[in-house]
Amino acid sequence: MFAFVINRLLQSLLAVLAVLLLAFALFYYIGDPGATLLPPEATPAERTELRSRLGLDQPVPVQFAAWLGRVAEGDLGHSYRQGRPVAAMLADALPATLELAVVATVMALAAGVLLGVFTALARDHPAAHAVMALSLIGVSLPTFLTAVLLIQVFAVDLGWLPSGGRGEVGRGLIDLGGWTTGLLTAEGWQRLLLPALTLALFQTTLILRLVRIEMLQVLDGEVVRMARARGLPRRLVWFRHALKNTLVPVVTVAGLQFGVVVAFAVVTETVFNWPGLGKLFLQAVRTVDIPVMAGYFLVVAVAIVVINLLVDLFYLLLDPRLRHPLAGGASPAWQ
Amino acid sequence: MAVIGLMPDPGPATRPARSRLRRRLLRSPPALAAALVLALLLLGAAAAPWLAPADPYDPMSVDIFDARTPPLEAGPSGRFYWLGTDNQGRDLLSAILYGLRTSLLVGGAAVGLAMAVGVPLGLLAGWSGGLVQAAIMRAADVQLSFPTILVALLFDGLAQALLPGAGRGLTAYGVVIGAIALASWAHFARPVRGLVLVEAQKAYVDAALIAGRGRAAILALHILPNIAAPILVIATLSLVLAILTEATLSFLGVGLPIDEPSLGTLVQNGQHVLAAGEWWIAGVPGLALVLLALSVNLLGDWLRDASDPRFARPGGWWR
Repeated sequence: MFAFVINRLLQSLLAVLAVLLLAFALFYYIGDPGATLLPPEATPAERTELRSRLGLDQPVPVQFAAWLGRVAEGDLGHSYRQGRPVAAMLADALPATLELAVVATVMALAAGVLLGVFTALARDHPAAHAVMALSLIGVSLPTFLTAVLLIQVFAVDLGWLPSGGRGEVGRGLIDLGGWTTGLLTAEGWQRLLLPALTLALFQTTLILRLVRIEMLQVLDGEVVRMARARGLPRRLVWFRHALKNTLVPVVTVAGLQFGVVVAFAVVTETVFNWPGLGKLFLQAVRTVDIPVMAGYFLVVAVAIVVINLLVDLFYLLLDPRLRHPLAGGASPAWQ
Repeated sequence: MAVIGLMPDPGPATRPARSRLRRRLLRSPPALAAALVLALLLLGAAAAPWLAPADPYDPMSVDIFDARTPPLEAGPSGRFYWLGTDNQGRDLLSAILYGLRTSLLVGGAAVGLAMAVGVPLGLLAGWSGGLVQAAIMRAADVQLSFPTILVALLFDGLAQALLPGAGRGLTAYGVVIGAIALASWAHFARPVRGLVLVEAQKAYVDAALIAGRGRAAILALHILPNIAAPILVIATLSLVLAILTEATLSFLGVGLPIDEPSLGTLVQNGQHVLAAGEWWIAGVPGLALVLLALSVNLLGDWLRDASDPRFARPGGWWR
């Protein structure tokens, strides 16, 4: 188990290092700072002067260390297009994305577990077959189409919900000292509902399938047979014993999928004009705004690595079988 | 990552006889329906230049006065449109046929490239062990922890910064194919390594070693054919992901340029006029995309069950 933890920590460090190197390379080799800070008619002498002032004539490892120092202080450079500090732009967009991603994940977990349990317990019921067939359509439906479909139905045809935008402070949003939230007003929730549903749909199908498979396996397994042999009622066995054994992998996958949720927030936020990190990133890709691209990549990638690490350690904590010395570097079965 | 649950680590290969596969296909109505739909879509895509009523990307054949004609109606010019026209007067049926062509070409090329990189790396990692395996597998782990669409978007942005004209013409196709392939090589490398580890234990490998075959020959001539079936299953499911990623990139405006036929771009066009009640401009290309993805998904699932009896559990065709 100790070896596993060390191994896993090293692996995460390696990933973070790869991310840092890539982000650094983005800044320094693709986004040439000299090209943006000087007028095109600058003399070679001026260029040399600027290069030495910025430390660009130093050896690469020294530059990397200096850059790391600045990143550690929260300095991610300035946007080429807007001139604002990248860190401030990311901080402004963070609440919108985080609220969206968290609400979507909670929705996906709730719906996925409910439907998964249902399709496993009533496996021959026509409704269960219908849910499974729908889930297959769900995985074949790209996020942008889900968004377009939901807008068509709920915003255009029925006119129940707005088709985009997060509102402003005072109109749907409340400013909690640097963190704007839409979760405290009815209008905020109305605006959040469609984007969150869009983001949740794909995750729901995934969790549903996982819960169903796990549940079927547990139902056929010894835990349930023993519990039934002890004479426990069916419902108690289902929900106390079977479901509990199912939830560990589900929480794990939901954690690992958080990166996917954030990635697909790019699509969702663009369609719904949602002022989050994803929309910021896409604009940066479209306008080749390297510092913003690099900053987004750095923040999101490091977050994904840390979450994956935490999920794996959490798994270790919950599943005693992995703590056995012979289990060594075992990873969850589905990986 | 996005295909967790659809893609369990494939086990050792068994090669079903062709006639058995056909019999199984006939016995599974959803798979049969999917095969028929896919065949129709493939035929339509392949024969697009002859089937399409108009060349949708030839400005001469587009009548702007026919713009926004609903499906199954004739426009002001008197021309009849099966699936209607978009906001520039393009015949949607033609645009979709050409768009399917693009989806399949880009998706196929991206999966081919990902296989060409991922399968040899997986074979190498499975056979060599030690430092080589550690390096390849750590790289695959890092790659897999970042979602496909994120990697593809980043690659796309980089290409635009580095290559002048990356967003135009043939270069744009290359960039999109490269971005998707880069994001999905690990989907092949990781399972292939696992499969090689299993196969390497088997007697036929020992026999080949004793017979004096070299490593490369054993990998290419003995092990590879035996793990071809699971690789094919992964390729099928990967193709869906590649097709949807291309459509998503084009929808976001960072994939293929707007004057190239792509289902994603067509949906993007239609999205702006949803509020005007013109649902078909986004809806019909979207439906075509879902039909394509769904039929390949269904066939992939079926192929997985059919090629490896361990996955074919009783109780449903969708597993």
